[in-house]
Amino acid sequence: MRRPLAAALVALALPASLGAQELTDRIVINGYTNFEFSKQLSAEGKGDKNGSFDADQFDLVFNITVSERVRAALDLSWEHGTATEDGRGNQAMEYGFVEYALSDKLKLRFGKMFTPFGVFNEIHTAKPAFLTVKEAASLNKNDRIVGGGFLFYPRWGAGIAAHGDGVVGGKDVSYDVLVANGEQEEANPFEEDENTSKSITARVRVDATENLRVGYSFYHDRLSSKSYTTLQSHGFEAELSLTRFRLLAEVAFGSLGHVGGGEQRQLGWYVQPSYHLKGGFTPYMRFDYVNPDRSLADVGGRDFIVGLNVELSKNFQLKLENNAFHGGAKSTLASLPGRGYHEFKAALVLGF
Amino acid sequence: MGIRQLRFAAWALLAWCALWPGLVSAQGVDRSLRVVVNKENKLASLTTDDLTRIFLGKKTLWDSGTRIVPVMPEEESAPGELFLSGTLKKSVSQFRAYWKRLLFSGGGAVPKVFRNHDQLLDFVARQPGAIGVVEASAVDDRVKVLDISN
Repeated sequence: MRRPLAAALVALALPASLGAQELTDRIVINGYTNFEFSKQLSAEGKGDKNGSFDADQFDLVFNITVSERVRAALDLSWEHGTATEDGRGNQAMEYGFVEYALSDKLKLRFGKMFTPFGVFNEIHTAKPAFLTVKEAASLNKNDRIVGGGFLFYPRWGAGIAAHGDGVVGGKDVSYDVLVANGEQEEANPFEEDENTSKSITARVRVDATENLRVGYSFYHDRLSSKSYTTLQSHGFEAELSLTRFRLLAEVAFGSLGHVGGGEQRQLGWYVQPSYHLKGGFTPYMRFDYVNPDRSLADVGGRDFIVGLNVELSKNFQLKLENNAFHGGAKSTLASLPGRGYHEFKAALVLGF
Repeated sequence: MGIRQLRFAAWALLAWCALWPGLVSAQGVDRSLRVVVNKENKLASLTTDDLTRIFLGKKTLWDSGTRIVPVMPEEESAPGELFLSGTLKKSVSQFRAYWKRLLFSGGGAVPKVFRNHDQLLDFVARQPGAIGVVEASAVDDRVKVLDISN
């Protein structure tokens, strides 16, 4: 009901007299699609034992310039071969918001947005925007490495955001602040808040040099859960981008307050070096580590990825990688032989 | 284990950045290129820093409040590559990677690219907020040329 309504509102906002040329100048449609294959190579593990194809997703991304200061942005996603009649796959509005630009330093956004925490959350569905097959699980989907943890932040939020770009002390600086409903146990978090407390996400990024960008993210919410009271996370990111060499690194510290007192403290981090060779070949590695409870010993786990990204043609990539999972002696991977397993992943990714 | 390895990685990164000699370099626009705007634009000059911010989506409004619409030759064409490497200090793949992230996270539309400089100039002449990079030899009176200062 809401998507057609949003589309109708945007359509009404556009002057009826737009010519075809003006319409194409104002509405830009991009998108991406992703086809994957994964196969667990070890005899035992938590990966895909059979080796499966996955029509992962097809997304359309709309940028609509409504007026000089007003823009609408929308990402519609069809995942895993969506077929609603059979209850298969997922159809979602990844984000849909209106942006009102008071200036470059202050742009207000209203709607459903990705939580602006760290590097990967806002691009986690957009596989053409990163080298690996999947986003860094240590910060975004840590249960893919080991169990027992929690999300550092909900991945989406409905609310009001401010975004700005400026120059401070000769350095390019950008910031994001999102006030949203936060994660809910029962209600639709994009429609209703179960408590009076709003979640707050803030992020600041600084181009320290022409090649090095650093950033800090923060998330806080009071929860209405029967088990948990608060969720708070801090994240630090760094991205070094030289002519061919790139290094991306992030760390997040999270704490989940318990109703009975005390808190679970979680750590996640990754380092991802890559080197862009001629011919579109980019070998990469990523070491993802997560410790779901820092008060306990040997519960952490890691995913060590070695892979190759090949740009077959403009914005069309082939990704091939091995994921080596390994957990501590008391982790959820401990029962596996060698406390880990290998999984091969491949993807064909197109951005347009 | 986690914290110790993390601390080592952070120090290694900082040390390398401090020692790396090529982190800062001069910017500018190659002499074979011109930066052009719509004739209605009252601006006469622009700094290379602002030009860079425009093509990286960080500056999106002219002082008048008009939305900036950046356009450029195809990234892999000679003038396109010259502009990316000479002014934005990015390779084609870096520029595309940068914009894919911004575009797909809702940060705005990628600068339009044109294969043909005549179409590019037509677009700039039609769009009040447009700014384009074009070969100097192609410029004509449909558009206004900006002075670019460092």
